[in-house]
Amino acid sequence: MQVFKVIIKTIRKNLHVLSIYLVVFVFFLILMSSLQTSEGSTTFSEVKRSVMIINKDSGNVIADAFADFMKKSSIPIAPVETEEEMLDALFNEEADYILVIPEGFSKDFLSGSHTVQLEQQSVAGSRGAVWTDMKIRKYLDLLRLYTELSDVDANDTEAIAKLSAQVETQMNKETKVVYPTGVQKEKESSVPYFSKFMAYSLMAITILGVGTILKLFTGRDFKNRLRCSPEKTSSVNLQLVLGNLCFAFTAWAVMTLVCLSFGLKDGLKLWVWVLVLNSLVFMITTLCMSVVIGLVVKNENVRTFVANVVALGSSFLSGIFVPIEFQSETVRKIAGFIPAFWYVKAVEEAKNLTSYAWSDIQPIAAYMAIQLGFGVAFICVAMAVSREKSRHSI
Amino acid sequence: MFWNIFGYRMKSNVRDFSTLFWTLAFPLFLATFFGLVFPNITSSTVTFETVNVGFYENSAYGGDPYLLESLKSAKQSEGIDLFHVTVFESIEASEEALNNQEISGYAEVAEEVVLHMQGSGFNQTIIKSFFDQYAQISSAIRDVARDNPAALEEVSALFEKEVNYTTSTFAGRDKPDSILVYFYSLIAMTCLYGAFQGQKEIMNIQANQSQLAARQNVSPVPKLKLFGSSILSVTLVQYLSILILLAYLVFVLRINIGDRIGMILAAAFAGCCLGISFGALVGAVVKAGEGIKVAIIISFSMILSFLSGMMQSSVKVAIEKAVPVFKYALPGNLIANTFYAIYYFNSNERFYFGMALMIGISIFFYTIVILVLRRQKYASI
Amino acid sequence: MVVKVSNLVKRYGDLIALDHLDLEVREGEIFGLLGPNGSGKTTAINCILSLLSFDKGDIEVFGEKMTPSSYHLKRDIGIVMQNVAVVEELTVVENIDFFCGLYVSDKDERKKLVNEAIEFVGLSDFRKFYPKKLSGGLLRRLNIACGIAHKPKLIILDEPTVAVDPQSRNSILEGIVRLNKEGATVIYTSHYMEEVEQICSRICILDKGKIIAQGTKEELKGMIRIGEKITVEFLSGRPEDAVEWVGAMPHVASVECKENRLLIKTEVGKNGLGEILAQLKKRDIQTGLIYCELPTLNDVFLEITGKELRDL
Repeated sequence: MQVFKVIIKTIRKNLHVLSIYLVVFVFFLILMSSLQTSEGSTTFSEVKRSVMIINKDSGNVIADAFADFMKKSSIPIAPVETEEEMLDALFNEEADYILVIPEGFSKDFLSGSHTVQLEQQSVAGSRGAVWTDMKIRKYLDLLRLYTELSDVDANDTEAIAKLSAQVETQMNKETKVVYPTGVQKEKESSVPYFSKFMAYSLMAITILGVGTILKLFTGRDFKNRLRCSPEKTSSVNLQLVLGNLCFAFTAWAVMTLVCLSFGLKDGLKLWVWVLVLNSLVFMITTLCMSVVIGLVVKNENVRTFVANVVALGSSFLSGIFVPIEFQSETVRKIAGFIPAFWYVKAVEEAKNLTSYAWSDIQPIAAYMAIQLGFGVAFICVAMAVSREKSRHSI
Repeated sequence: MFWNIFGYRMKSNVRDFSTLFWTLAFPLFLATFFGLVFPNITSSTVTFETVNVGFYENSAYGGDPYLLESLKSAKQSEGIDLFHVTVFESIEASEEALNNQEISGYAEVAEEVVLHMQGSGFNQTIIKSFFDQYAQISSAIRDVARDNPAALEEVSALFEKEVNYTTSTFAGRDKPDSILVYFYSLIAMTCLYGAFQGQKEIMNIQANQSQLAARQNVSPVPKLKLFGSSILSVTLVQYLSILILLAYLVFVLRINIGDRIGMILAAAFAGCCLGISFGALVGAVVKAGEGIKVAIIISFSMILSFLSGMMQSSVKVAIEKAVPVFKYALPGNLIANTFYAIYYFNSNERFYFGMALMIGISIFFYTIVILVLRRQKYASI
Repeated sequence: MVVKVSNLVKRYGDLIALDHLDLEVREGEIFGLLGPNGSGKTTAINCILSLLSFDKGDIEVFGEKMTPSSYHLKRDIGIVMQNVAVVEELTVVENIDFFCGLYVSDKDERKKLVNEAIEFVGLSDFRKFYPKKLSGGLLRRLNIACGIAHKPKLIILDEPTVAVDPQSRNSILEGIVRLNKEGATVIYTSHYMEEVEQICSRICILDKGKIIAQGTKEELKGMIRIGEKITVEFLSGRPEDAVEWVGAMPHVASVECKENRLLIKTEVGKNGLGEILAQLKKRDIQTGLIYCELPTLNDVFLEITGKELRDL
């Protein structure tokens, strides 16, 4: 087992470089698990947008009732003080819309002149702006209808309060919605998220690690010395495969454990284990890919570069960082040629599993099979490359 | 002599492909990916697009002529149609269109309006919002007419007059666009990768770090002159790399990073100095082999880029929200935020603050480096 | 006096690298610093160049105290380091011009010097080559060209021939002699005694940071008692039996036997070979190979330290 031992030693020596990706991974998990909030529901629910409401006309019934309505129907964002902070909130998408109710708005509204306008900041033409504009118009049109047709005195607080109560009642009238059945959703677990991100770190670590091992064993002098030793070539190769597998498996196991421990609070449903299996399959495919890269790329600098390019590139293209449905047709077409794309597809499919009949599992199995297919293809390439190389070198 | 060394350092830096891989090729590669992926996100999640809606009127129902008309004429504030309406003859046809996702939902109009929706997303919300409003207004009119029939005549006049309730007071220089976070972070990463260059230059002049350095140390050139010309050359090369990246972003990928070119160039330069001085600091202060130093630089720049939002823009928002000082204390975020200030704010306060910090930190780093360099004899080589 | 080192002590922790070293290099000579690996040659050179700090002692170059900022002194020193120190990304010409440029500002003058240096080391056919493309020997020559292009008064060469093919080695050694003839003082370190013997006018032998002998090679050889080394191969009889009577002969300093050979060392100034041959004939011993050698620096080293120079 001399060869195997050397592999373990090589990996241990390079642990500091490899662990960077593990650190980034854990970092991501910590951050994401603190950010996760999304919840599913079983009936039709309106999409709400985040609105920052600043009421400078408070104390007046109209402004207060309007602000209340806006707060209730949106995701209210805590007001900030300065202009720049407002701009920050818009840019960072914390708030889709910033609505300032200016002083004197109530009085002006009752007078019917509508010269004191609401001040808004939003991204023109964005969904958030359209949504919020609709809400505002809906409420104020109704209010205008009542105020102008009933001629209330601007100082008659009671009458005004009655008007806004009427508006409130109307607002509760809703159109009936028929919602297609069978699209029930549970609360989103964060495990699929983590599982997807894991693919990135796994790719980076495996390519780098396998590259380091292969560099040593395919170096001409080292290889020739091994060839001259009494160790059988088949045994050397077996140990090489074993060593690489061992390394990739350890990396996978560590990350899976981290993943699961972070996902523990969401409960470990059966489909979580499907994800684990899926990532194991992906690990094998990645390992095969890494062997090809390791055989082709010798220079250490270039290898680190390739590892990053492949890991980041396929993560961006295949939907690990950015959901694939947001991407253009071209990107989606290219993505089909990347193993990670099928990995992500399997994750997406698996997280919605509710029953485990063969017909439900079949697509997932197919995606895993495609990944393994990639793996086989990579091995073929690796064998071809290594045969070609051994023919040309002593 | 200074310019002679500078000239050869230039030649050597331009030909050092393994470093240029990192400082130039890698950022360009990432930029290409970002360019492929992100603009689509904006168009599909942020920008409003006209909603496809179906309309089926039950023939048994006498009908409300206004409903279809107002559905068709509804516009958002920019003047773009809210809906693209398809009128269906049968409920089956509507249902089919819904299943084929040609429409986000359809309205079945009879005595009561029923909406048939596919899921509960943004488009569905807009459809429902419209029909809710229509129903509420109609109900309100009935309400008013019951109390005061005479007022009914005023109603049509009332709705003739379109009232604009809001006015935009948006004070930003340019449109908010959260995907820019990714590109800012990419620029920041490129600046920080200058650290490789800084470290390399220190290695080339510290006699206990390389043979070449030892050889130059026995020449009659003062060390600070050597340092000055090396750093100047490497700064120029790195600055060029960043400019190439910026040009690629602006002219090839068509990313709008603002129109204040002078400020962009200045910020790029300050960021470049920050990265290089950081590398020089690591090179001069850390007592370890080249491998460890490079590992330190890689891990730092990776983590800093990550924190500035390179892999997930929400990371940047979250981290700056949790610890506001990080906006400026993390070099990656500092560089990204300076570019953000150029693009987004009319007032230059944040830009100047960012610039001052970047330059200040660079000077601080260089001061330490020079103090270390001044010691001219080594205990061992 | 070009270089004067007195009482130099350098420690690395507990290890004493240089132990009260005294050296004097005179103008116009090729001064050889000979010693096994780890004897302190490179440390001594680096101290002279003011790269290394040292614990005790004084170093003077061209009669002035040497410090890291003695730039006017450094201007007249050329150094060829033990490990090749060239810029990977620059071609042969550019490398030489770069290093020469550290000493000479004038462009035209430099151009002339660079061309001369290239001629000198015989790299004319490789002007546009990058260091990576040069073979070991050629790379060493480039290293030398970078050190001497500016025509320094003092040239320090630290093992310039390590891992160099015999052809390049000869050309390098000839070149050093030529530089010396042109007026440069040379300090040459090596652990190959043949080289040192071949070119150096004065030699200093170092071991474990101490000078164990110093002088011209004749002086050094005169320090030991051996005159000749005679080896006799026995074809009949046992050499062991001969040890006694040979040892009893006049002028024989020592006798040893190794397999079927007898190794005899005679005293200085006496020619013992004829006597021994006569005795062998008289005793009817059939001999095979017989040869006689003069002592080398290795014998000097061996006699003083009790170990062989080349073993180390």
